[in-house]
Amino acid sequence: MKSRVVFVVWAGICAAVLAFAQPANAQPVDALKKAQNAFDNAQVLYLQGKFDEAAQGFQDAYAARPFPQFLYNVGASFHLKGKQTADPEAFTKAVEYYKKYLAEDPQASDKAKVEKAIGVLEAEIKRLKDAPKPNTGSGAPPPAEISEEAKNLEVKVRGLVVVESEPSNATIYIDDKRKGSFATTPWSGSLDGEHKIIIEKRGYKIAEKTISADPTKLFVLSAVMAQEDYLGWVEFKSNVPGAEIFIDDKSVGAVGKTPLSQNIKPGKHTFWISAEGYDEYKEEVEVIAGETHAITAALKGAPVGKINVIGLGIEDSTIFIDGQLACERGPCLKPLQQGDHVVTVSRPGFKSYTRRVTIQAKTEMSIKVGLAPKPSRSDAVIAYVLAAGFGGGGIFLGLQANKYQDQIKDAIAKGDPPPDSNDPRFTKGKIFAIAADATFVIAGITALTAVYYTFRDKGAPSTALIDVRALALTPQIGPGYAGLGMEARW
Amino acid sequence: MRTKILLTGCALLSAGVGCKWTDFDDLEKDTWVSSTDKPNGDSTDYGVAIARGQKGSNGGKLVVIGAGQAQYTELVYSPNGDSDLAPTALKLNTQFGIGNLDQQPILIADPSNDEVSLVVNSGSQAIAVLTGTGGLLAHQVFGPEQPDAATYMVPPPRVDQPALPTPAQVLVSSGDTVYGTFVMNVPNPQTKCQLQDAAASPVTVRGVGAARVSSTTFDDVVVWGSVGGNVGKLLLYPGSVFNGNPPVGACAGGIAQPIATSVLETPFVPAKGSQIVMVDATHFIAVGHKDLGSADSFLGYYTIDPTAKTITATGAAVTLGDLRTATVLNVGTKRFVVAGYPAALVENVKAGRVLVFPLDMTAGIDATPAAQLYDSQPEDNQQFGRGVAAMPFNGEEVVAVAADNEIFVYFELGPSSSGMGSIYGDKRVR
Repeated sequence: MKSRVVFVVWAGICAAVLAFAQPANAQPVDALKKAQNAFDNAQVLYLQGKFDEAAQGFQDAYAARPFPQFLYNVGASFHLKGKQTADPEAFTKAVEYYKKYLAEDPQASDKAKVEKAIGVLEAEIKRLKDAPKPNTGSGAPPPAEISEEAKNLEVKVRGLVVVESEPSNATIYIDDKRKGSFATTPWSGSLDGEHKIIIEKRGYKIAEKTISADPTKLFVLSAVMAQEDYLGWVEFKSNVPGAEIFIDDKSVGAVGKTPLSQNIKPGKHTFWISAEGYDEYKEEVEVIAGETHAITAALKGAPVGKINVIGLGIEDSTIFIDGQLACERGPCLKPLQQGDHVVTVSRPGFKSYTRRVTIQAKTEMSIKVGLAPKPSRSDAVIAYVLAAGFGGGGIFLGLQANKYQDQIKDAIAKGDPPPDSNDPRFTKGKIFAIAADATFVIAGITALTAVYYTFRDKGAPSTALIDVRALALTPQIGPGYAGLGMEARW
Repeated sequence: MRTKILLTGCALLSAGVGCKWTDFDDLEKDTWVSSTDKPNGDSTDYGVAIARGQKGSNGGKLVVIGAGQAQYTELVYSPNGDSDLAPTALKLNTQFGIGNLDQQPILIADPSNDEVSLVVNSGSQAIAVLTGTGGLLAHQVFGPEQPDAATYMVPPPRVDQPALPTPAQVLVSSGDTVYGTFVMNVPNPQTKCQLQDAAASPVTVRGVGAARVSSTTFDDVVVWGSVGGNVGKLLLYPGSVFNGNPPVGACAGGIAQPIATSVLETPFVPAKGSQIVMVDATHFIAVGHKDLGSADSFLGYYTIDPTAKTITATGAAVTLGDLRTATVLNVGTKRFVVAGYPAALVENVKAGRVLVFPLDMTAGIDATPAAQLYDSQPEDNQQFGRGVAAMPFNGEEVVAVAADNEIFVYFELGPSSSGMGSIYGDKRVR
């Protein structure tokens, strides 16, 4: 990490010691204070160009608390002295302490860089020793020049973040437990910027602290953890690293990723562990206070693909898959089991888009939806008005027909005189009745047309462009985990 | 769901408003007055004369004559009252060269069988007698004369061929002369007989009928005419006047005198178109009117005494104006006189009406009509009643009325509380 900074601080003004509980043992605290004072003093001497004294200060700090970074800072002090004086002895001491540093911390993240510096310095030492001796009696010899390679070699002392806990061997999480465990206490190393430090240990209360790591300071975070006897301890593991862990309620989101250990209140709990491309693992456990419960999920791979619904205005659209709400608003990226699925995208004022798609395993189907606006229904309104008009006309004509019918019935009943079979009222009444029937038929047809107009799919339909891409499983390795990750290629 | 609601609404609306146009067909069948319009054809003045057609126990037939382009048709009524035009329609001009008909052509029905005869003026100032059953054939044509009246009668045996059968034949009058129309072996020239009164004055014959008085095997002839143009007389002549001018007999020498006791002056002088309608062998009604267009008319009932050979008026005559024609309706034991007044006012419209008078065989005509018939939707100049007939229908008689281009048949005359009277119930088979 380029931003990694090492600082040696002798002055105690910038040191911070954080305690989360009453100190249980005074000896470690004194040693830490001694180391911190020595670090701060050495940092001041280093800045003043008193490299031998600064190196001694960092050695004193190491004597108090053997953090490998202190050895590096001793080497850096001699390195800078040699760089300014072209003194091969100073370079020799610098190489000595760089090597001690790597011996103390063989997994140091800057191992390659330090090894490169060792190589350059050893070559420079040899070059300086092999240089011709100056003539005696001719005055002071001219100072030896160091090589350009040695000049360009960057050197500076480093700050340090130390995280300790009492008791030790607690799990450290950085920022979010869902990122997984970071390390165990005690830990020292470099951190840059503001971070939330979470320290957790079985049977103890969780300790949390937000720190702002200063690259010029020795920052010591010491947590004395209080016992939490009434909690149970759960350890989550899975064959797929980084699987998401859900507790009791999936809707609140994942609480972390495997592997994970944490306290939990006693009682019955439901745990889900899931990872993309795998069947979900579910287990119900009766957590007992003070006991450890291991949740080991053997996730099995499932034929899963993905669907990704996007498009213009998708943020105002609701996406349903197989009739179930998938996303209240787009874009909507969801894993789906291999097979046929019905995707519906709806948006107020626009025609819904529905399509049956076939999802194949290890593919991502991208559906770019273009929803067409719903057309005006004025034609339906006109048709309804016409239907009502015809209906009214039919009623009027029907009433006229009924009037003639009543007249004829009355005339027949009275017989004074009776209407003959050719009486024009028969014809008139029949014409009115037929006209009424015809008008009702027209009204009915018009009404049906209006209904059709109401529900017909008028105008251009909503469309979508579909693109299918292959998803590949690739090995992924991270701090504390290794597994397979899924990525799309096209 | 919306569609269902709409369809249900439409159905309910249709059912609620009641747009069953077939209800009017049912109502047409409910009314007991059948009306038939002029059929398609050349006739422009349909229904100038009607008479009963072939008789039968099921339904009925009515012969209807159209003028303008002369036409013979027969309306066939089914037992339930539906009417149809028989395929026997004839265009008289095409068939017989008869283009125009009188305003009141003579159409008579043989009381002894189904035959009808149309007696008209042919195109060449001759009289044509067209006879038939379910159609017409030219029976005899003679002249040159104009027909004034005609009747079916059973004539006495022919003097020249006494062995020939003597079925009922048509006797036609023209002016003061009557012509007997023979069924076979028509004499040449056509026999004729001039009728005179007792004072040897010619009698202009306006109505003629066949009465069974002096013989039990053939008919005598009852005549209603005018003498000198201003005296109306009823006279009875021997049936032998049918034979015309035989060497011997009543018309020897071509002139016949009436039976002396029979002559009866009438208060009404009949004009052309008047009729004698026989009620039975010895009773008849005299239907008289002045010239067409005159409102004066006369309806009298007369009785012939076969022993004394006298004619007497029975009861008072009905003198309502505008009488055109009349017939006798037999309903069981009751008889009615059905009289047509085609120029009568109905609801202030000159549409015409028909009055049905009760007829008592001994007391005469009751001047108070038992029913009056008219069109429920009267129209001006409709001439309702310009022809009347008693049509056998389902074995019983019903009233048929002719109007301008329209024929009415009354399948029921009552019972009703109205002026339609209560003469007979519905004769239709339902």
